[in-house]
Amino acid sequence: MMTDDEQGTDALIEARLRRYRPAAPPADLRRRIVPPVAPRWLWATAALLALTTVGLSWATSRVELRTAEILGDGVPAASLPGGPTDDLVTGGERE
Amino acid sequence: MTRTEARLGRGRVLILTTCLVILAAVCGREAWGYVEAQRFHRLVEAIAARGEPTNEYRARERPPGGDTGTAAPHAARHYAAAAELLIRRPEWNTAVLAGLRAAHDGTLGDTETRGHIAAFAVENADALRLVRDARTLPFHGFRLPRRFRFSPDITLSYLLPAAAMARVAAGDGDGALAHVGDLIGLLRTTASEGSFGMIYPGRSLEQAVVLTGLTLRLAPPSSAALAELDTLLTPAAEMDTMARSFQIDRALFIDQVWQHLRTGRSLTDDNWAVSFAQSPWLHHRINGGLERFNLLVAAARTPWSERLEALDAAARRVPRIETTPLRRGLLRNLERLLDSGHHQSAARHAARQAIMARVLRTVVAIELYRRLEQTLPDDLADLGDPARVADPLAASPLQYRREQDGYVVYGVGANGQDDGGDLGVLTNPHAIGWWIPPDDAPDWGLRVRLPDAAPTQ
Repeated sequence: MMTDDEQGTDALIEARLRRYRPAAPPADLRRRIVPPVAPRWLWATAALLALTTVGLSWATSRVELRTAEILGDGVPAASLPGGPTDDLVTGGERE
Repeated sequence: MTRTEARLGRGRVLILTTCLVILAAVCGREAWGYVEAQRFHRLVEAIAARGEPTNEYRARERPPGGDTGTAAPHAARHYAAAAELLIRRPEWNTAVLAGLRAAHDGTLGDTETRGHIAAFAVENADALRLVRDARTLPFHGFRLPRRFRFSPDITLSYLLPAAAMARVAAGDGDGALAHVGDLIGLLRTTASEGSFGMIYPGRSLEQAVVLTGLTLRLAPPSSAALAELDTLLTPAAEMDTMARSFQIDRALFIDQVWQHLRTGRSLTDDNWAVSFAQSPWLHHRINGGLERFNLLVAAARTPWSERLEALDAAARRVPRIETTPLRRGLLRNLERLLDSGHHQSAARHAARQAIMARVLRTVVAIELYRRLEQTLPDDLADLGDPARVADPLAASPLQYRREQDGYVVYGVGANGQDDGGDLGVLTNPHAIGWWIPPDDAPDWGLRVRLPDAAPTQ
């Protein structure tokens, strides 16, 4: 059997707890429980954009490879060692 | 406050949205880059499919047998070898200058000058022989070692006039005209080396005109030598090299751009971030430039009578003087080239060359007529073949007018109309008695004062 004092203390604690614990649940309770992760549509859009970017970059490199087949490496033949000399005077000797 | 904002907080939503926008921009850049790469590919493919050069160095066709000493002889090798001989003789240009000064002052017949430039011809007999042999060989374009700072034809365009003057000084008119023939052959074969070569003043046919006048005045050649010169000047022997020149320019454009694209070097002088961001825009401008080059090449193939208008239409933009500080970078240089009116001026230069070749041929025919008949013809119809005197820029034949002390032969100038033989202010009368109009003269032609006429100027 609790004494009056003890009952009074419990009541006091209850009252204090009630004071600090609101009756209605807090508005941002959901936010406290669910971790802050971006919604799925946002992840999906980002993934789509990233994939498209990589795909386009790859496609561009394929086009450039096909262009390279036409254009060659573009290195001036005259600047390569053993390249053309066109030289009747020195008989092909290069400087 | 949206649901997402409520869930993530405003700051996080802002960061995520920014990331998404950046990702979308990068994706858009890739998409545009892909479209422009495809466009560039299609343009290059179309050029290659037509058999036109897409690479400046490949454009210089490899002669049969390769480039080594065992290759079949071709004119470019001979020209390069002759220029190489001259480069190794640093004193050669003093003789050229002495000859030019003597020709200008009319002292070519002086003993001292004669000895000086005759020795020059003897010293360079090997180079001259190479050039003479090149006349009958095919030209495959220059593929030059790096030691050539100038194209060999520029060096040779000094050698040949000096050699011709040496012959004149020695009284050998036929030999001088043969060197003039070498010069015409050189000009015609090498004019296909790009439009910058086309407008180089030393490569002008007017050199040949002056030298012919000099020879006729000081060392009259035989009629056979004149007839040979006439053969060299036939329109059939005239190579129409303008389209080919523009193709070489375009190949150079593609080549430079392609090397930048391959190596990832910036086409402008902006920093890498700006270059990265704007690269599709730069590719777009490259493709635009390439399409404009295609228009220029197509215009250069139209008949002479329509060509200058067609080129003006193809260039589209009015040449302008840049008032903003010059910005560097390959792309800006290329665009500046396209916008500068350079190709139009090259075309006008080529048109003048075409007219001057026909005028010179007509004057040679008049000189032959004068030798036979001892008088000037009354009309160009007296010279026989009317095709000989056709004006390339107009539907009419060349015009001819007798004057008190000589005659004038002219065609329409760049404006395409007959201005009554107005050759402009003749600021540079040569001692030889032949007057050549300045570039901006209303009509282009030649005024010849006969040697036995009393001087009027």
